[in-house]
Amino acid sequence: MSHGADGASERSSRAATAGTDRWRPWAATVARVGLGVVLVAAGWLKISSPDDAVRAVQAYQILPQGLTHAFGYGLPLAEILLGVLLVLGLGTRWAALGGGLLMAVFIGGVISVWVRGLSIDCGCFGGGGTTTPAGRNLRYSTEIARDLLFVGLASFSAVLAPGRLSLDGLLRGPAGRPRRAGAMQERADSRGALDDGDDGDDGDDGDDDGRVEADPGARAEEHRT
Amino acid sequence: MTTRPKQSRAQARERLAAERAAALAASKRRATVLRIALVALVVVLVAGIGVGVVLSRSTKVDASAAVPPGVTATKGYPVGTASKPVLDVWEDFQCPNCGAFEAANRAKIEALATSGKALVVYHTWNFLDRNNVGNPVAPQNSSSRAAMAAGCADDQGRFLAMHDQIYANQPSNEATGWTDAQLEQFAKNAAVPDMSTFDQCLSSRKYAGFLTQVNKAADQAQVSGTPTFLVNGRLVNVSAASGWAAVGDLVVAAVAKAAP
Repeated sequence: MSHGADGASERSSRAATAGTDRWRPWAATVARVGLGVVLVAAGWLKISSPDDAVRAVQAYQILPQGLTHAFGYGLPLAEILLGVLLVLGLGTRWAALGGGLLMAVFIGGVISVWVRGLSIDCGCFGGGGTTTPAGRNLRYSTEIARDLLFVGLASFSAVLAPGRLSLDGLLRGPAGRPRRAGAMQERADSRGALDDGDDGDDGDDGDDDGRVEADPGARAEEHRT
Repeated sequence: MTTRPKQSRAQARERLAAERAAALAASKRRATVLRIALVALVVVLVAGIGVGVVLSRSTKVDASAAVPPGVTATKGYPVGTASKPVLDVWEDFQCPNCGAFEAANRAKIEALATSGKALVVYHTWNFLDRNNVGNPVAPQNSSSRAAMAAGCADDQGRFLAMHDQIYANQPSNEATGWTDAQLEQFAKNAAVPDMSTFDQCLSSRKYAGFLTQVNKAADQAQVSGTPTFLVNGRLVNVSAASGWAAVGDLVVAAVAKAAP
């Protein structure tokens, strides 16, 4: 994860209104958890009926027979994996990129089916298989629009990762600390004597880069030095 | 005298900075390792659950189960005297589109068989058993029971008549299904001669294992819905047809094109 770019955007946002600082990390959390829940649900609905999952893959008529089982079982599990990681906020940026990529693949699949004039149930949330042509165009365009929305959520999550309440934040190594030390200095200056270095309440608020501080000890050390 | 302490202070500062950098690096490494370990843990958990779900919920193929007399290697009922071309008709008795197709094209397709223009192979798939699940009053697994009843009729040489009876009596609501008593009545209508043998065959679920073989054959033929038509193993694309009679015409045309 590139902390440099992160830091730059953080500083510019810090220069912006305090309101933006307040909602941004929470918006990141909402996007991340929302996309994660969608992925877990979609994956579970598919894998809980493995025969249907394979059939749904076959209906796209893209993969050779030998690969349809691997994808029928593998895609839903990949969705669940990425979804769980997003909900936990673990490897958030990569998981969000993976989720966005998966959605892009699904969009490509639906477009391919549409172009070839096939009539299928996309099997996006379980089910799947060949269907009748009725309502095909509306169905495909709705599915593409929905998946584009998920791509948007994924991009948003990747850019603002990890947001509040994440394992990434909890596990945050000291990579961000040198910058943080500076940021704290700024903040201490701006806060003045009112709030002089008392960060005992730091668990969940006042931490405007959206990361839950994991190691107050390390922080205290920073104060000392 | 004046420079020494300065120097040592600078050295001390340097040493402190180096120590702090080392501590930072070590702590960063620890965090990375922990993060990778947690991701690996999630991967293992999801993979484990996935393997368990796939193994427990996939249809297990009973390869040694009894099959109805005369079924092909592709687990279908051959009708007609021709050997080529082969028209595979994949259906599920509960599939409303199959019912609509049969209503519009039964005579057309059966004529292909009787006139020797094609070997028509009917496949009685059961993937729509799931339709009854959401309807607690419907007899469950109606696709499977109807398909088993067709096999029991085939035991007495009445497959096609039974097939036609079931489609002629398809409920208008997809999830309604049939009771075993209804299926017995259809067998009577289809002139199955020995009804006590038929009843025994159906109630003992003689062809339950055969249906798992049909399911596997559908997978191998990459059939992903019903009705699906293959001529000499190649999918007939009927997406362009408007209306079920037009679908039948496309199928007949595909058969004519493949005629030797």
